[in-house]
Amino acid sequence: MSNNQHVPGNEQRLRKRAKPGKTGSGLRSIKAKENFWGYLFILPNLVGFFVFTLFGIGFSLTMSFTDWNLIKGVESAGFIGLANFKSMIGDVYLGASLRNNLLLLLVIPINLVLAATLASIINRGIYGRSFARSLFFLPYVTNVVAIATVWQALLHPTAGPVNSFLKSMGVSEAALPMWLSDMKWALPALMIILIWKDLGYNILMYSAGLQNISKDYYEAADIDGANAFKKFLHITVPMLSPTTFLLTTLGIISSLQMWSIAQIITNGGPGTATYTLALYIYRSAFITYRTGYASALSWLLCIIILVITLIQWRGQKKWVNY
Amino acid sequence: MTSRTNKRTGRKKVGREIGKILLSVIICAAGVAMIFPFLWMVSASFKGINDVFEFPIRWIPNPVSTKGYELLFSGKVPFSVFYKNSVIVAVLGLIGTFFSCTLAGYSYAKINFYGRDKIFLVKLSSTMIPSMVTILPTFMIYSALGLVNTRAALWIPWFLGGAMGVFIMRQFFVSLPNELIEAARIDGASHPGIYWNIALPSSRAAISTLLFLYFISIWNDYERPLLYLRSRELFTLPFAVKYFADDQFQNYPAIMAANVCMLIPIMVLFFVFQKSFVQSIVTTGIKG
Repeated sequence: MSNNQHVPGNEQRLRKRAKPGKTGSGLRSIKAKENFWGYLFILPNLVGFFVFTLFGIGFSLTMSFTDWNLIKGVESAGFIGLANFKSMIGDVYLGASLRNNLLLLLVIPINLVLAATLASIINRGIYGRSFARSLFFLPYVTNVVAIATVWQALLHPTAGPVNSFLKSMGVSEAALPMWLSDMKWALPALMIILIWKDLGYNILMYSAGLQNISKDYYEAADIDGANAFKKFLHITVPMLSPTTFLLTTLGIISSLQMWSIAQIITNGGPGTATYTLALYIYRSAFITYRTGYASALSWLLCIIILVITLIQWRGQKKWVNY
Repeated sequence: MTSRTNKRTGRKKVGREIGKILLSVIICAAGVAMIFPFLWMVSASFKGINDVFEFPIRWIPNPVSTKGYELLFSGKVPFSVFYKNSVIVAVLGLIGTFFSCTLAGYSYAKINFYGRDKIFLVKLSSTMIPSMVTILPTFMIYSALGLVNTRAALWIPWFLGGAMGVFIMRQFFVSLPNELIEAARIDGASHPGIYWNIALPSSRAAISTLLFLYFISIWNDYERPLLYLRSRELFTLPFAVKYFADDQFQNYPAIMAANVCMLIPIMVLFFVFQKSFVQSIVTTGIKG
């Protein structure tokens, strides 16, 4: 730390204290003080890190090699080697979860296309811009229980407003989807809800990205006679690629970890139609008490996420282009 | 959309204005479509059980029924208890967030302690570990401490400083001029004094955003009560509403009334803090 103050007395005092060099007791006491307060201030942070993160990681890793059952307690857990990891192969619940997780990733591109389009319209200067933005953002601050219960009512198979509307549009009774209680439609319904929930967040991030694009590009394109669509395709889309990249990364990571909304709205059902890996982990740990297996599954999730993150770090240079 | 062939600027301006109005109408219509579920929720909460699914939707209920709301406050464990629990947890959680995040943020930004930047980096990268990995060990630690089925299990975590909150505060404190802090130190002030008398008062805006962001997480927390709470008297709102919804199977007015009560504080604060909230989402990229 440099001491550039031009208060003569202080400067002298500091210099006197600092003069004996690195071995001086004055400097050492300053350093000791910095260390003392520095660590004291981050103490809760460090406790959280060591106890819950570091110990947690070690504990979870250890337990993934055991047949731990939450009810029977840690003491009764026996070492079973790689058995948990072996039993993942051919686990139909896991297969269904991974398939659903993969399909749920479709939400991200749909959401991003919608968000980029809406954000660029909003950003062109419309009336009531901030009002419109907050309308889109409202679902994002709402909690999952309210979202789940409202959508359960809206998508009610026989009487819900969505199906009533479809019926009034001439869809025959037999062709109406049962939505959340329909094997085929439960996952698409969940996807619609997730798109609705995160759209505002993505619009917001894109709006910020759009504000960073210099107007010069558009003016130059105007001179060349480009139309609005061409400008969007050749200026806006490439200039937004860093934002798209960030949102894709965050989107994939949070999509893979999603469980509570699925737990509330369908609890994985019907059958395994809306199981996700994270929901399966929760259920294995706390509902079916295959807790050791759940630990192993959580490491599978962790590895998937780390691999994706690594690929994205590598790919960042390649895919983000101005 | 402006006409490309028209070169007279006057007409072009009118065309542009019409385009702008048109787009505004389209966007606002899309916005209203977005909040359709909320509008339906409020409307349904004031309807009788048999009128909920009337189609076409009658937005203004006729007759207005407050049975749903009455039911909320008449049960064996009334809704006011859940509200009280939520408020207690939110207040304690926010106190914890305030101290843990501002202290750590200040330390990472302005105290030159040994290994600071490395520790900060490790702390930040620990957010990459999925919560599913640590959810079980955390549960074991809490149950070893006897915190299962206590309110403390819901608010204690916030005293440890979430990575995002620490990050927000650090970024803010870094922007405080070093000269300010050096000057205070030469005047004999210690770090606690500088933190309390200089850093905190100059960061009111950042702190209010921080607290609002965390208020949303704490108020909306569903996972912790699901894992830790057993007795109904301790339930906080989201979990209580879920429980209530399962209990009141298909009594939609009552379920919607519960949702409305749960969402009111969030909605009010959202419209109050909107601007700074939006700003901080953009700068930190928080994803809930």
